[in-house]
Amino acid sequence: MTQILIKNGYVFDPLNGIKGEVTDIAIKDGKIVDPRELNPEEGITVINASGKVVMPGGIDIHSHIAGPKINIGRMMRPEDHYTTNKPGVFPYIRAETGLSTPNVFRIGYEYAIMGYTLVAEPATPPVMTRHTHHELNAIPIIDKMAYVVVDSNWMLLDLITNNDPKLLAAYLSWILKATKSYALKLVDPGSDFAWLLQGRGLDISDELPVYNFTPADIIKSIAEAAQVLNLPHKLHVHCNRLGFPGNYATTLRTMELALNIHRVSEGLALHVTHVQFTGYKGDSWSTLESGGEEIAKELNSNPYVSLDLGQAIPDRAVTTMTADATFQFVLYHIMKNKWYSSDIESDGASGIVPYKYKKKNYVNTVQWVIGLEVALLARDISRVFIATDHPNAGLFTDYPLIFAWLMSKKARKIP
Amino acid sequence: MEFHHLGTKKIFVDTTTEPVTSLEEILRILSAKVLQIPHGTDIPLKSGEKRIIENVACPICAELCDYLKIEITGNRIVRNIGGCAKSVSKFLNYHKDRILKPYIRINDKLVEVSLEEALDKAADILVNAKYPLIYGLSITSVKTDEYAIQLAELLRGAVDNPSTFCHGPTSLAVQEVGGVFTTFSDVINLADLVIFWGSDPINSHVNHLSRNIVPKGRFIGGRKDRKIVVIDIRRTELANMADLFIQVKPGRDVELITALRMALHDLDIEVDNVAGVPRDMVYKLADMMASAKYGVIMYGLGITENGVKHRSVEELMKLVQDLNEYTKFAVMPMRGHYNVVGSNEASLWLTGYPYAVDFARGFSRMYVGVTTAMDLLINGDVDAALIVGHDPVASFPRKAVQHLSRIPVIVIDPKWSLTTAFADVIIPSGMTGIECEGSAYRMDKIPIRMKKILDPPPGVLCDYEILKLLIDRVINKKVGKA
Repeated sequence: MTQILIKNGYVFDPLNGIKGEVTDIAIKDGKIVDPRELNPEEGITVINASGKVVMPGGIDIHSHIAGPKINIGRMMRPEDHYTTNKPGVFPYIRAETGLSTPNVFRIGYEYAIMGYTLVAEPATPPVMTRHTHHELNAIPIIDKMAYVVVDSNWMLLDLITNNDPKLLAAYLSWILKATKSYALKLVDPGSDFAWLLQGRGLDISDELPVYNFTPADIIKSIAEAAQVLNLPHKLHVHCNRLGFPGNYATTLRTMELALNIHRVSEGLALHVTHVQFTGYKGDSWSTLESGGEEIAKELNSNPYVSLDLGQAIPDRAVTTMTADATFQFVLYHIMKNKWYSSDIESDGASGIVPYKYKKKNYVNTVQWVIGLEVALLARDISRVFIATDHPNAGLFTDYPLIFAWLMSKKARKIP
Repeated sequence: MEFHHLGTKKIFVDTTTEPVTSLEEILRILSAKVLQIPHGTDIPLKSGEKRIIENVACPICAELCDYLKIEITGNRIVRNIGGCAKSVSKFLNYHKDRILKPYIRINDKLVEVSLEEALDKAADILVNAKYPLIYGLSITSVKTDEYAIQLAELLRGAVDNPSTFCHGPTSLAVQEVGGVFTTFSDVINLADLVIFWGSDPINSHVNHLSRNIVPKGRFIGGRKDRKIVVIDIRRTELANMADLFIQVKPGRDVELITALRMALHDLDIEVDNVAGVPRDMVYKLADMMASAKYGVIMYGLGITENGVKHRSVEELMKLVQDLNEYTKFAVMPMRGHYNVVGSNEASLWLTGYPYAVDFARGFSRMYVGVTTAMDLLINGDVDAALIVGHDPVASFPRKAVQHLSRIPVIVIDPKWSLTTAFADVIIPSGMTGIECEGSAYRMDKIPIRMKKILDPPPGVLCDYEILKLLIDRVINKKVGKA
């Protein structure tokens, strides 16, 4: 029996509407209980939290912490490890290494230090999920979960063609069960299929090769199946045309789809992820502008979507990794450096390219603005999640910077 | 038999009347610690209830065929349906030459001891070593790999796996330039051009062709719709069934790859002959590659292990990256042992490096040529070795093997091997994929579950359980020492 008493902290608990009350929190056998339930005879560990904030553990909704992509990132970027080592402490603290491609121990330790207790790995192809679980298992301290990528799965595309929503829902529920994953993920819907067959990507209303439907149909069918399955986090969408100027229009259309979904289950219908990468206005890199305002407006008027930022961090060397193989091929041509790509069974594809965000680069500056603009203009902040799409736009260890930028005008002026 | 090599003399292989070298003689030549290893120690078989287990994954090569049907009566494996000759032999002979009890070496004799004593002695050796080497990990599950790496970290030693002498250069090439990879299903359903370069699956991955090349795919017919090209230094068995065979001079593949890249970029090749291949053939092959719909290069040790080290693989990756400007093209490394990919993967997520990981400073470092198992042994840098699920004496150079005869060695293995003749402590383990379950990674990095279809012999644990016990003991002893 473990008994802990956290005394005199400023307690924040949004679920119960407690905003900074000074009070005590008691924990008995891993559960929060009334302090009167603690038995002093059995010994109580008292933690003095006076002057400190006591709050629930943070949840990171989107961070690439495990699976084949991050592991290839580790292999591809030995230079990411060289100056970042921290020896282990005998016998239980393990050695840490890597910044944008940290080893499992650094991931667990750093998240725990930041007060995060649950992190979601947002993209694991079904056939590779056993690998993802191996890594999640190896990450210490924090709780973990994974979203399974289903957008370019051939069997699923067949089921959408056959127009049998019941069978589609059954298939998705089997995938979730078989892969022990938490939610469904779409990555540039349908594009990996087009990439596999023809080496190209798709916009939301382009027809898929072979199949006569569009990415919008994929999103709608799977979102409706998620309604039938009553999933807690319905559908995690990485929009089409990610990384291309003018793609904010595609993002807006994806968000609008949430209004047309036949809703039979409570909660939000769609989650649009790393919106910074899909919030580009303008028709070329030189005329790039922020589409953050439009996206925030859509979020304010559409009650069925949530989003996360994918906030870009200036002067940060990152390793971009995504199941959006098409865009990574484009990024490889921009960077002209290393490029890793892999086609994964009949499930999808992926790409990995090292990148660096520069303060003096116009595009990178606009990227920095988009994320902040969306967050600052959103009226319902409970539907806006802070994330850097680690390690794509920044590292998860950069979150305190984002908090500062959002809370303080002065902080925003510095970078 | 007669072999022809380009630019070399004819080589004849003939029968001899000399007596076969005995095992004892081989061990003496290698200066083994024990000249008589017990063999013929089989698990007693009992027939009994008949069972058929389906979808068993095969613990032989990285093809990891996971569709075997295994028929068992009692503890006797009587049939293996779907497996190749190697697979059948491994399953049907699983009980032969097994290590059934832990042993400790006293002078030149192996003495049976209890598991406790063996673990204690092993922990003593490891704790007292200044810089131990842990080697193997490719013929076991990833769980074992994870514990082995943890042990290396606790001991501040080095840990390496067999990619150090097979596909390590593939990792080095990925470190330099990346690469474009694919998986079996994409090959089956899409590939209309398959190039085998320095690999011969007919002998190494027996089911590879019938599994990936012959079947009809969704967007392509069977073998008749796929072009097969074989590039090798000699006319292999595989070359006879290919549409095109190209003979390249030994060790000069990198020249041919560079010429192919030049042809792709419309650069003039000024010489008539590149590495033994006529210039026209280079243009023809480049054209074939660029006009394929989905091409795959399945390469083996012919590319990774030659004089230019990892430069051939690096150039190959660049070639495939270039080809993606025209069409879809990918490579597939034909990996060897069934879980050598898994040992790379586990090493990556725990330490950030795929192999040759050193913990001398408390954190992970990888210096190929310094912290690779072969170099650590040849240079005499390590003062103890723990071998898990591998037989280095059978595959390492003489100098490396000789160092194993000078330092204390612990072997964890299900069967008697040459390496057991160099052991100071031998701990028997169950066979992963037959007696122990776990995960292994196929050559295209797909994780496959290895099933347990029989119980290990009485008193014998799985290797991850043994390593777990060893870790606990090492921690206790080190704490006690401090």
